[in-house]
Formats: sequence, C-alpha cells, structure tokens
Amino acid sequence: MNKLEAKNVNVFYGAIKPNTVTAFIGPSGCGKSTFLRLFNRMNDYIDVFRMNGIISIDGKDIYDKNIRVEELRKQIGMVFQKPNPFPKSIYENVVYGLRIQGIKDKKILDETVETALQQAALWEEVKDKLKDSALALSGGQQQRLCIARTLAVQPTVILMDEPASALDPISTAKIEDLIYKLKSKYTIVIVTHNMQQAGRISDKTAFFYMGEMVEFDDTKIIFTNPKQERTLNYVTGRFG
Amino acid sequence: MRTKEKIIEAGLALAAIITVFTTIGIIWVLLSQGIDFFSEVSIIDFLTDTQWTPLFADKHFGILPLVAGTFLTTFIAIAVALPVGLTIAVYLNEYAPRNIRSLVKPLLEILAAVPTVVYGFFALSVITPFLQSLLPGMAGFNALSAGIVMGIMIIPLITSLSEDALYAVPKSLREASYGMGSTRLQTAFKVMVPAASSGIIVSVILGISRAVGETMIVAIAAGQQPRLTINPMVPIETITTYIVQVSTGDVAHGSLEYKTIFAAGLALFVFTFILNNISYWIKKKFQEKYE
Repeated sequence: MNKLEAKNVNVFYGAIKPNTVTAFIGPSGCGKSTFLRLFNRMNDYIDVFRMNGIISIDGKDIYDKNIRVEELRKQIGMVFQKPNPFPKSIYENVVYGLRIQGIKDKKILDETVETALQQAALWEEVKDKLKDSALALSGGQQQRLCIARTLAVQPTVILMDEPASALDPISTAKIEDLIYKLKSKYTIVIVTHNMQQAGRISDKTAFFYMGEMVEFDDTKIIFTNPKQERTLNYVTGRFG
Repeated sequence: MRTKEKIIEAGLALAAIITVFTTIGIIWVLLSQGIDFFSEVSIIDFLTDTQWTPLFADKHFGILPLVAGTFLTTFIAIAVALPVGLTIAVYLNEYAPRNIRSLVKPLLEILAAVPTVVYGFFALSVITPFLQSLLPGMAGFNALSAGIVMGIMIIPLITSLSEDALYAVPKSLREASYGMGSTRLQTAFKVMVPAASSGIIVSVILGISRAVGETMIVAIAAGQQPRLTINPMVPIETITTYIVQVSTGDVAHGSLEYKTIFAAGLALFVFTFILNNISYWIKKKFQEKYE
C-alpha cells in the first residue's frame, strides 16, 4: 500500500492534461486512494510515510523543501469519500478557505459563496438558508457543499476520493453531472470503485492492482481494448 | 450453579443500592438539619445579608460572603486551568508525536493524584511568597494563591476531558481543513476546538464543580475570614473552609452555630448539583450530534 515506485509516479503525472477527468479504478486496498493523496500531500501525516520519485504540478516538484504545503493545497483541492462539512453554517463552510487566508471583506465573501454554490449546483436549493447548519443538509447536498467549499478557494486541480460512494443513485447522478461541467475549468482526478462511473465521466483511466499501476490510457481503450490481461480481467468483471 | 448466580446477582445489586442509599442519606441529613436551621434563621436573611458572623456575639447569617469567596477562588482556578488545560489537550491531540503523548498523559495523571493537602502547602509555602515578592501588599492568606494552585490541580481534569472531546471529532473534519490549505494551528482552533466545544464546556463545568467543592487548598491558603469582596489579595473564606472550621472547632453539637454548617453544606450541594446536571445535559446533546 505505502510503496509507490518512483517510476510509476513520474511517468504517470506527466500524462495528466489540463481540463480532463482522470479516473483511478481498481479493487479495494490496491493503493489508488493512497496514490491520489500524494498529489496534495495528505499522506504527510502518516508517521511511517515516505516517498521516492517526483510529483510535479506545472513543472514544480510538490515534495520540494521550499514548497509550502498549505499553498499547494489551495491549488490542489480535495473532495473526500464521505461528505465532511464542518459543523458550521452553510455560508461559513463555503468561506472557510477564504477566512483562513485572512479575507474579511464581506462583499468578496458573499460573492464567493454565491459563485461557488452555483458552480456546485447547490445555490438554488440553499440560497434562502445560508445561515442554517450544514449538517441539516442531505448527504448529496452535503457532498455538493464540500465541492463548493473546495471551489471557493479557486484551485486548478480537484482530487476526488470516491465522492459518490456514500450517496444514493440520484445524488450520484448529480455529482457526476457536476464533474462533467467542472471539467471545462478544472483538472479533475477521481478515485472510484464504480467502473461504470469511470466509463461515464472520465477521459483517461488508470487501473491499479496490488499497489501498482497496471495500465493508464484513454478510458475508451481501457474498457474496450486494454493492453494488459489483468486490466481486461478486471474491467470484464472476472475478478475484483 | 443457579444459587451461585443468585448470590452474585444479589451482591451486585447490594453494591448498587449502597450508593443510592448513601446519596439519599446525605440529602436527608442536609435537608433535615438545614430545615432546623431555617426555622431559626429566615431564608431571606440567609440569601441577602452581606455578613456571615455566626460564631460572634453579633450574629449574621448571610451566605453571600462565603459564596463570593467560593466563586472568587473558583474563577481564578478556571482562569488558570482552562487556557493551560486546553492548550495541552490541543497539543496532545493535534501536534504531539506518539511517544511524547505517552509520556505526558501519565505525568498529568500523577498531577491528578497529588493529595490536595500537599497542594495547599504548595500554595502557602511556595506560591504565596512568590506572589508577595511580585505584588507588595499581598496578605499571607489570599484567594489568588489558593485559586492558582486549585487551577493547577484542575488542569488534568480539563486536559483529559477536552482531549477526549477533541479525539471524538471525526478525523474527516481535520482532513477537510488540511485539504483546504489550513495550517495545523488553524485546523486546531478553527475546526477542531469549535467542533469539540460542547465537550470542552463540560470539562470546564466539571472543573468549576470540582473547584467549588475543593476544601483543603482553600482551607490552608485562602484564610478564614468571610468577606464580601472580589479582591484576590486579601484573606477570604469559602463555604467548604467554613464547614471545616466549624466541624473541627469547639462549637457545641446541636447548637444554632453548629447547624450553620448544614445550611452552608446545602448551599454547596445545590451549586454542584446544578453544575453537574448542566454538564450532563450538554454531554447528552453532544453525543446526539455525532451519532
């Protein structure tokens, strides 16, 4: 799980193009989430974590000593598996990222809330109850709120760790729809359990197995004509 | 086999019943003696008179000076214990590597295990002279020294309960905060502490409850002069100290003077009872929130 080869990391990242959706698929425990978390250095908090190789964004090594991890995470946002809004109001959830940057101007905050919630397709549902607790929202709404909260910081890349796995089919469809729309402005990397989902929303797909990236190619090729036999076996449902 | 089970069951039930009867017994003693007292002294005087001099010729039975002394030392104790205790809790939960954590927690438990009489002498023989060197005009017995040491005594309680509350906050909230580019400090104080606030409030209320009932430290270091004041530099007397003073003194059993301690005890019981109930209520609300 923790072992990620330098070579894989390198080769792989060079291949993610801006404004695309890249999906990571693979069975549970294959390392796809751990791999995703390398991109915004969320693994740094694991005591025994170490990494070889280079991951870079816009040509800059993100594990370089001079990189401020807080700045990096403003640029590379993350949406988690379970909706995790703060126990605060909807408004405060969205502006959290701005508040920690010290932005106090009410006009900027208000505008950000509206823009971010609209981008996350949640504005119409919550515009009259921005002061209500975020915990009162449904699971699907909470997840869109978490996406809005991430968008408010204006990242360029969004990492999504199985963002729809805890949601019902209708909420899942809304999230997928949203991912499709966000593609025009952001580069999205999504981990998913659900192969159909990967097929529906992604341009590129990487297949992980046993801590290793087996294959990475256009989604269409991965699902119809993969080069590796293990990939073929997985996408056709023969194991996993 | 069945009889053995029955005996064990009866034994367990007996143990549970003993605690219930002890509580009922305490309340009964306080109430019956207290009612006796209030048949001789009006409850209005008790609550409004600003002097407490039951042991003097000119008798006044106003509980306010004792309440003021109690709250003054309690306030000082919490003012010391909350910032220090919460800081330690945040440090242990958000920053400390595992080995530091496993070193600090047992040390705090040792602090909790120090007998309060030792704390009392620590206040009187170390803290008071130190404060006197900083603040000229400070009396040998005073609320400040006793309050500070009482605060040190309560630190483990606040730390341990606050740490539990912080630990109970879902890890996903911390990740969300880090993921947005927060520093550790911002995550700790803008996300974790607010999310744990009800548990932290409970720790403070239980700390207050402990400080209100604390006896030895104030008896040794704060003096025995009932005084309606908020000046922390002069001797005062707390409810608990008064009870010690009378029950160890030469007041005749059954006299009105003697009965004052039950009235004082009743007042103390009411305070801690209310505080414990508030904390219980908040704790229940808190548990609902994350289930």
